[in-house]
Amino acid sequence: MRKKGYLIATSLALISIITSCGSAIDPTADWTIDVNKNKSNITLNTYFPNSTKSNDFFQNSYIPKQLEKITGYKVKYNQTSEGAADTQVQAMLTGKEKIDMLKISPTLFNNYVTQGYFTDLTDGIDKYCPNLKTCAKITQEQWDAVTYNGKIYALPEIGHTSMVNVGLIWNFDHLKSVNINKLPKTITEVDEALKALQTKYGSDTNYHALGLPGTMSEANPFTAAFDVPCNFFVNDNNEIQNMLFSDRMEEYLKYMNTLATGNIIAQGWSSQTESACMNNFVSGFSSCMVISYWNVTNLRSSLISSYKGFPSDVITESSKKEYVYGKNDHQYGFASDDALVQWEVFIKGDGKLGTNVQTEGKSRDSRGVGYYITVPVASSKNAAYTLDWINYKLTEEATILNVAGTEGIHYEKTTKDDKDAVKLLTGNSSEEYVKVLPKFYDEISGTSQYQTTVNGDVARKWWPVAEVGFDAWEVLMTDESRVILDSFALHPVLTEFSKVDLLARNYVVTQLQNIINKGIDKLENARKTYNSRYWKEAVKNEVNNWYKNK
Amino acid sequence: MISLSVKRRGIKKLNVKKVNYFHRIGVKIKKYASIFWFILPAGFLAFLFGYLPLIFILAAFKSDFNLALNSPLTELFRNNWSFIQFSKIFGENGGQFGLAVVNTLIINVIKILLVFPFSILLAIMLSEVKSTFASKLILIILCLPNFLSWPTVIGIWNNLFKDQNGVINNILMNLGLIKTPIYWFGDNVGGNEGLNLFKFFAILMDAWKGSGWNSIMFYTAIMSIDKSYYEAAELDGASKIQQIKSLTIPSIFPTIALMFIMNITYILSSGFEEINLLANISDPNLKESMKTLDVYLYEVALGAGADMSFATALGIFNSTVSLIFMLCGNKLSKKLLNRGLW
Amino acid sequence: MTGFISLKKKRLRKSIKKPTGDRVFNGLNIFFLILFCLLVIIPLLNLIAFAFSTGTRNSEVTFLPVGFTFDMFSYVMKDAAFWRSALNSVIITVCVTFFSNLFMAMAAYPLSKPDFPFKKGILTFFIITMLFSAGIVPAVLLLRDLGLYGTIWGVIIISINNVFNMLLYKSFFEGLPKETIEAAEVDGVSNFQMFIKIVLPMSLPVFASCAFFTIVGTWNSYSGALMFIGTTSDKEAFWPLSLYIYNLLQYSPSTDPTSFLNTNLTNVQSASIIISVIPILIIYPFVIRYIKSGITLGSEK
Repeated sequence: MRKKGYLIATSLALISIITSCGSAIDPTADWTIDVNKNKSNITLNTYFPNSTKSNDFFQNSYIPKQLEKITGYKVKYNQTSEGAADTQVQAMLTGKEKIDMLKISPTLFNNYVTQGYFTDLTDGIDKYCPNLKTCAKITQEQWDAVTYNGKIYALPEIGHTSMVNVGLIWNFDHLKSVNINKLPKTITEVDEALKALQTKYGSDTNYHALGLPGTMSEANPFTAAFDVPCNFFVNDNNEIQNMLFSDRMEEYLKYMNTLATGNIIAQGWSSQTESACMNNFVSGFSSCMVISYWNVTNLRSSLISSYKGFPSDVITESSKKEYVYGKNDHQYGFASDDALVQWEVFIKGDGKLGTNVQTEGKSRDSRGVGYYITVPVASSKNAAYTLDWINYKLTEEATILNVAGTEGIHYEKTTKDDKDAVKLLTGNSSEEYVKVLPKFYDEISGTSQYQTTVNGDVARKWWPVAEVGFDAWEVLMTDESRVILDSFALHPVLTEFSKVDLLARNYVVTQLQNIINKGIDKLENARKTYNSRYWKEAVKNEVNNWYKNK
Repeated sequence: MISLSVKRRGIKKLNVKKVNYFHRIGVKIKKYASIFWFILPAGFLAFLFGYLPLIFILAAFKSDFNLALNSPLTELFRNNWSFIQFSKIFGENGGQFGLAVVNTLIINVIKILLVFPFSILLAIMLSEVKSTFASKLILIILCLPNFLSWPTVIGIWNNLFKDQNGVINNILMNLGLIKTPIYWFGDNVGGNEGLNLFKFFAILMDAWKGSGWNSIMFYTAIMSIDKSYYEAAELDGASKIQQIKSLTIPSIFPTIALMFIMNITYILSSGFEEINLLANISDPNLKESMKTLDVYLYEVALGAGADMSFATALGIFNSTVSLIFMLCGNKLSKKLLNRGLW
Repeated sequence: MTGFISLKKKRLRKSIKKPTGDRVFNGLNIFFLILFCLLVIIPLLNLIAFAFSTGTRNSEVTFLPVGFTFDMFSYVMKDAAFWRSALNSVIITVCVTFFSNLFMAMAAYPLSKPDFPFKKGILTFFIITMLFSAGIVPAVLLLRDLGLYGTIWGVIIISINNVFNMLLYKSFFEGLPKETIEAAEVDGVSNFQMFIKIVLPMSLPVFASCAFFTIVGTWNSYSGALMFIGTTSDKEAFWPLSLYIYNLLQYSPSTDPTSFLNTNLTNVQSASIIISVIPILIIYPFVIRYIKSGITLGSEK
């Protein structure tokens, strides 16, 4: 009896604890706060996508400290984990963690906005973040993409540049050893080069001519050569369809399958990271790889320190550097033509191997919004402070800090005659030249990922300075005619589609890897499964209704 | 007068009986009063983590479970009840669910057909070793893998079968049997489309880890067979193999039957830790097509794009089916072997 | 009389020739057993070999280290995350073993008394929790509500309830010699004192074997931590060692491809695994000693 009494009493106590533990959150933000009054007591807790630098670096490096002085806010910088960002964001949102700013991809945003996980920012933007409407040049379409039920739930973070992010980088010594003396530019040339290299070096079982990271199964120069649509395209019935259904994709996959069966890409390529590919390139186990522009400088440094293929007379560090970078001056955007490491950003389709004839190389870009800045509802009461912080970052001072650093420490103004001068993109007749100082590489270069939401115009003007840190091809690409766009990039939040977006996207990525590895006959099944599992009638109709009424 | 006194005595007896019953309980309670509270910690925890979570089973009966604003408990009592999650198990997500069940069944059936007899075989072989020192030593060695964790076991086998610098690949290449390393954990083994050794490795690793330990059960049973039977059989001129067939195996048949029934009872559970890690180090496509029920449950509950109400429904379905299996297995064992499973 | 018969038996046995089949059988038997032992030992040797070799010469490693070095172990020794995880594992293992066995034994003792009131009801109460579990999501939600989600205390508390052990204890207590207990009762010892002073010391074998199995099980398992702590990088400080190794095995280099970890990945993995197995190896001899008694208990149950 007594024991039963104990049990009942404790269970009642527990139930009351539990019910009191969970109180509902009030999702409405407080737009009456005077931010200047309480600013110094606030520490903003922010989450950014992973940048492969440590949390410690980002918390304590130069830029955040300066930023604190400019904005007046103490900020905690966190990164989501690299491979498991989806599950981490899920755990953080459902666990109602107090995050003041969460920067996530549109897919994740779509997944959660319909369930009410984000704060409604509509009424606060004009009051606390006026710079946004003036500096950021966000189009109405881009605003529509973050609007749900008439309310704005995120700030679009639009890139201030349109970029060609990845390119093909070649080991020119290897090319010369198979009697190829100029960079392959068309698909046939690339194919012949790869095959020749594989024949020559393939006796070493670790050697595979092309290093292809698993994440780049369709984000590589080959897809552009094949005119593969980007994410979604408009088919012959004027309907939106996933790129999986395009016959251009079929040709691309057929070709890549030949690379896989010919051992030109390693068997386990789909789980290889970009770093692993770089490692193989440096060790001489590949002659070509698909690389992101921000890794080109890292690759060259690794070659200088670890490459084993230097000729016997190249011993000193400086001679190795010269060997890798080339003796001749290289023009910005192009490697010196005697350099060990040379790149080609575009592969032109020439009508063979399944490609169409292209007049010039193309690129694929979703041109959608890269990331959305959201305020999860658990921190809705701090939304005003978050917006105010972003407002400060949109100023010219903060932007230049982000891109170039501080004058006198990281860069200095100079004249045209200085051989290290970088010309700013002022657009009009006035010319401004700047040169970077050594500290730029340690403290400023490679930190752009974290310090987001900057003034697009100012950032674009100072972009050549940022590019110095990468020293790769000309990243900026202004020619619209060369871009294959995503037809479904800027769509508003669609309820049915949001439910399947995340899973469908992951499915397509794995299926592309599967088909490249196992052959084109797997494509049919992938398409069928995609349709039955994700592209159901409700989703299809919702998407196409929007498209027809655009 | 006699009848009156009998009646009175009868009623008194009745009252005494009733009073006796409660009195007895009271006496017992008083007798054990000081150790009643012994049950309390375990009972409290059992209630907290065994019964209290059952409230959240209600989450399976809702059309959607949204934790954006509400706490889990308040969300439970929102009024959006529906049975749609259960229909999703067979309808919308039926393909993946069915695939997971089939994978689990295939692995477990093969284990019962191959690995289970192997444990018995090991026990028999061990029992035939003359020297106790040798048999003890062999037993110790064979039981060791059971005490390693699954990450350890898979790490060991990964070192052997890796495609880059895996020991097996190195040996095969040094012998000149193959030119390029075989990607054992991929789905293109030997250049054959779609041939993958995932299930093979899952079963192999489980056998490597568990056979030794599982054979102990049979070994002790064999050891308890009276030696005089063997002597009699030997006198009759039976060879070793005949002895085993007609003596050893029938004698341990109850043990075999019990373990067999237990294996059947747990046929729907196939080791989350092993399959999860094996799938993660294998080719990513294999993770999609080879996952078993436990892994599927985990993915649906905590993976990307998790739908909590569907995950709860799936969990309940799985628990109920396991419960049914367990009750049937218990009944079967009681009928055949006169003893319960536990 | 019996001596005469046994002599006769001996002479008979000597005169009956052992069929050669038997000798072959014995030979094959030993051969295959040794083969199986080798199948167990060789992969372990390989693991040790990798742990003592350098990564650049991994292609030559079979069963012996190539380029013998302690570098891998010193790398692991210096890794703060490894030791933090080891500490977490120790805390979890010690807490779970102690509390689980204590609570289960305590609960089993009253239930082993034949005339304990409501015994059947209480037993059913416990057995139901063993048979039917609500699943992952309810456990996660409950831990969330209690504020224990994502901490090692959540993992500990969830693992304490082990009804199977309770039943083992119960059957063992039921099998204790009645005379000792009755003698103590006659002496006027209270129930509680009887448990502590008499029953516990007598049940050391079952305690030890249950404790050993709990230790091994808790030290090795990673699924609890995986589900209730998670593998995202912000929870790294709470990982137990098994989860740490789980992640290490899936490690793919994302930063500098020439770092020590990237060039010696297999070797560091092997070294970490070996260090994590050492506590189990220390306990293993003790477990073996109690295998027989533990298993006979189990088979009785």
